[in-house]
Amino acid sequence: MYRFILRRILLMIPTLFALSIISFIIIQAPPGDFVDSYVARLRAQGDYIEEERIESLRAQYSLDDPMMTRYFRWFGGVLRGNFGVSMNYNQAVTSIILDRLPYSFLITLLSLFLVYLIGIPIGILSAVKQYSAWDYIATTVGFIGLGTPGFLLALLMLWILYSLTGNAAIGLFSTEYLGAPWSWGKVVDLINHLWLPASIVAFTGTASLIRTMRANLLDELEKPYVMVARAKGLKNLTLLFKYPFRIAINPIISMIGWTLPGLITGEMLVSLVLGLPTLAPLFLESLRMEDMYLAGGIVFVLTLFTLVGTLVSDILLAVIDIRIREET
Amino acid sequence: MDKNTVLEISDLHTHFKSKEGTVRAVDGLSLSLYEDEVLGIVGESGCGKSVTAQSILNILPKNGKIVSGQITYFNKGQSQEITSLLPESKEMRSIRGKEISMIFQEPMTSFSPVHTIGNQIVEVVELHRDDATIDARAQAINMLELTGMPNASEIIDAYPHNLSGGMRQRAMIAMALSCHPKILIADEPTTAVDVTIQAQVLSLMLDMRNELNMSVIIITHDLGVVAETTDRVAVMYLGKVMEIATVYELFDSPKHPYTQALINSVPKTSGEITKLVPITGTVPNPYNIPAGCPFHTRCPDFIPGVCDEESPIKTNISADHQVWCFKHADEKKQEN
Amino acid sequence: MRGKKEDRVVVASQWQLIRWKFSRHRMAVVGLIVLVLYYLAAIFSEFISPYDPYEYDEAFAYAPPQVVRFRDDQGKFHLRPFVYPIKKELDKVTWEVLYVEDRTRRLELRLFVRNWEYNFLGVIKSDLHLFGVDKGMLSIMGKDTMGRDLFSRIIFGSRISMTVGLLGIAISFFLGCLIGGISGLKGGVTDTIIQRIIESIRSIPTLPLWMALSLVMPDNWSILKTYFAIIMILSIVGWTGIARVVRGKFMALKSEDFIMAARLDGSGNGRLIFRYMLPSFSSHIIASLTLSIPGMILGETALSFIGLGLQPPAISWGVLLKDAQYVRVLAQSPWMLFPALFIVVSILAFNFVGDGLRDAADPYAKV
Ligand SMILES: Nc1ncnc2c1ncn2[C@@H]1O[C@H](COP(=O)(O)OP(=O)(O)OP(=O)(O)O)[C@@H](O)[C@H]1O
Ligand SMILES: [Mg+2]
Repeated sequence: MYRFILRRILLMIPTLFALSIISFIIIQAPPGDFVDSYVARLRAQGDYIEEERIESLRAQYSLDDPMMTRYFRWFGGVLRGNFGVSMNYNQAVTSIILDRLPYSFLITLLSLFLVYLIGIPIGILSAVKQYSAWDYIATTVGFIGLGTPGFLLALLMLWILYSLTGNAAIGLFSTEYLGAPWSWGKVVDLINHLWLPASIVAFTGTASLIRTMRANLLDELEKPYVMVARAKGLKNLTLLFKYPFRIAINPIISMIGWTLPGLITGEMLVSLVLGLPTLAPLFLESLRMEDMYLAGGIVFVLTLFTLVGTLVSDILLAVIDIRIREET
Repeated sequence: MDKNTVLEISDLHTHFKSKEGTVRAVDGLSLSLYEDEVLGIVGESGCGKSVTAQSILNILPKNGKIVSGQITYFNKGQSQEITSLLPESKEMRSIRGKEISMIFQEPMTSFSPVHTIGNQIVEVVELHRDDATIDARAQAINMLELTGMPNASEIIDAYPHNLSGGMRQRAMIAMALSCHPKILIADEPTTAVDVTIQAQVLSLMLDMRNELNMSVIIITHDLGVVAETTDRVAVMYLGKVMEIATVYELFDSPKHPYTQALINSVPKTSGEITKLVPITGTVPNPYNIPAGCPFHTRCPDFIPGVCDEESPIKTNISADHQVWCFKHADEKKQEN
Repeated sequence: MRGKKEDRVVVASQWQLIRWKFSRHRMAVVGLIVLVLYYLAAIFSEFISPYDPYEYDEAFAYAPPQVVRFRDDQGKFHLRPFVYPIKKELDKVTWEVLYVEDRTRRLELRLFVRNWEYNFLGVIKSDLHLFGVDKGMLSIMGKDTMGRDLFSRIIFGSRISMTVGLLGIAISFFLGCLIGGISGLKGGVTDTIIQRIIESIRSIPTLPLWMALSLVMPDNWSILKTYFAIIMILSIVGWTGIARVVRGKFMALKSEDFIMAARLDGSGNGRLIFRYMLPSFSSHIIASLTLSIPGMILGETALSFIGLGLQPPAISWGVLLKDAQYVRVLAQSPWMLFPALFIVVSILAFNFVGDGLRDAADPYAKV
């Protein structure tokens, strides 16, 4: 088992390396660089900027070094947890990201939790009581979720909230806690603000999990081993959870990692629509400003998040399914 | 002869609902099982053999239902009517696996792939033991050893995919017998294992029957298996018993045209060279079983106006030999 | 075995079988009809739109949708549907401009009216439209910020939104088959490397990847260039899914005799993949392609919505939704969400059709 985990972690290293290159290339791809767009912005405002100042800015951010040099300098820093300096904020990327990262992660993880918490029981119910009213309701909700991406739902929520309360600023904290130091009250306040965006993000995922859980379980319920287990005299409920559920859940556990990129995408769009101060608006801004170390840092961190997610779900799967362990 | 009946099925009807309509999988089946005997049930694929077995244990799939008839289980002078029990009732569950247990056709898919063999056997023992101090694991190992499983104390912790087909079938038998049931139903126990293992599995089952004093129902469509292992045979066609007799009488003087056709359609092992005669026609659609005798559409001795209108009644050829056929209706005293 | 129906199955060819099984899937058939309507709307946008999607009239900015009626205020029934014309009024108290229905006149809806002129497919000049009103203003889904007809804009938007998915899938399909095919055929180190790359791409959350890539496009690109660039961007993630399906199938197919024979005949890899191997499981591929179209449509919508995709004057559903991103606009004119309805319906339709195809293509599925 430990060997399996070790192997799996070692396998992550080349992926991580490839990802750092991909992130870097993506960030470098837009024409021009930060100084170009900075100058263009200044000029657009009618400000004047000297050639020397431009040159000194370039030198300050080493923008004229060859790409390889910059990549290795950047990646070397990343390995030590230093993502470089944001040119736009003139501040360490790491600290800017760390300011907002917790909120992005909280929303994403909370929505992941909601997806599984709601999706699995409803999926089971709908499979066990196939063709019942429950099943039809769950299936319909599943279809609605399938067709309604989070950001449309967020837009809809925004409108409903505004029509009801005349105020659509959701935010992450109530005003009295905004600048306040951390306290129990502030945590509760945060949770009160998080569940709405998290459930919006979770909606599509939940709908698809219901469908998957239902289909998998229905498949398993027809397998001969279920009848064998009934022939032993087991109680239906005991049987359900010991056998078909255990097996139907395997592919779903291995999906955890693969649901993360989707949830992160959802979280970003929902945050943009609801105007939440998470990584998403920061990322959009950094892209627009060509503040590449910041943008690259965000891509890298989010990707690392999904990599760790797949790692965890692979390990979980190996723990519960002997067949996986023996294969690798 | 004085024989104690352990299981009595009378006029059983089990139907399935499906999109296309109702399947009358078992359609008026009656038979008895005596103490310590091996009863064979033969018939073509789809004639309702497995559904009969599932009805006895009341473990039909969701769309299936016993619509009428009785299944009665006799134990130590008491009788329990299985058909009156709810499928999920405590009484029903305490019969399954303890009094009546079953071996299934597919040893591969009959075990859960993510649990050890031991886990799945111990579970039955723990479920039905009267005394919580009984060491379920020891009993499971013991049972595996009894089935001739090599290294039983190691195999018990193996997963099904580590075992060969023959070993899995042994484990299956060990699981079914782990609570010393009174009745063992084996639904095509040898179809999925290769020929060399077939004989082993069959003789193992017979050994176990002697060891544990139980009655066995062997379901098969292989007349060879029937001839080798059973004491009595019931021939089924489209949900009904056509003929029931001791194995000797059945092969020696089959009465029902279907039984005759069935016997003529398989090669004899005795060395006589006879022409094989396939049964003409095809099995009718189970959604639409013909009226009267279900076999009349393929029967060489079809009597128009009789066989296609009325259901044939039971005729006793001898004490141990009954046939449901109009051809023999007036040969002996009629019953029922 | 089971009478007439079963007999038909026995003699039917694979494609007939698929069609027959598909047609028994009610939702899939409904989905297919919806999609056909959508694509008809995309092709005949000019004919279907009562108004020129670019024609603005500030006087009717944010005019609400009219109700199409058969019964007038006096309760009289009219065979021909009509709307009440919209007129502006000033609220005496708040001094806000309000739109009210003028109940004194009826505007009758007519089929095949003549209105704005267009060049259908760039050749046929016409001014014929499916429906409209003779005089006055028709607003079935409301008007936007600049008083442009939202319904007409949605119809035109389907041109981009409904084709992005198709073209994106075509490119992903080509890349996926080629790369996945090579991966499956060659195996070994090639396979491992390709699989690692696919895994890396798939573990990057799609939105940040798309957002970063879409910045590669200079602002001054034409609509057409941007459109194709966006399709390329969407395909960069899209091909990986198809490559995995194709690879899996190829692994299984590789050892089949007819492939061996073709290989011995000296067919190259490309020929092997596209000529021999793909046709042998095309139904599965079509199903998984259909199921990946919605993701592409949503991708374009999301990018345009956050302002990184297509920009006005291009019309796509995402661009249209962008107008609805401000909550004040939404509160005042919720009909700006109509494009969302079209998106949701199209996504559901693709999913139903895809599900139906997948079940129909599965030879072991119950019918
Ligand atoms: N779950 C079910 N739903 C609908 N019909 C069923 C179901 N199970 C069995 N049947 C039908 O009941 C009839 C009898 O089936 P059964 O499995 O008992 O046949 P069998 O005699 O065991 O055949 P085999 O030798 O192939 O195992 C068949 O026509 C079958 O189609
Ligand atoms: Mg059977």
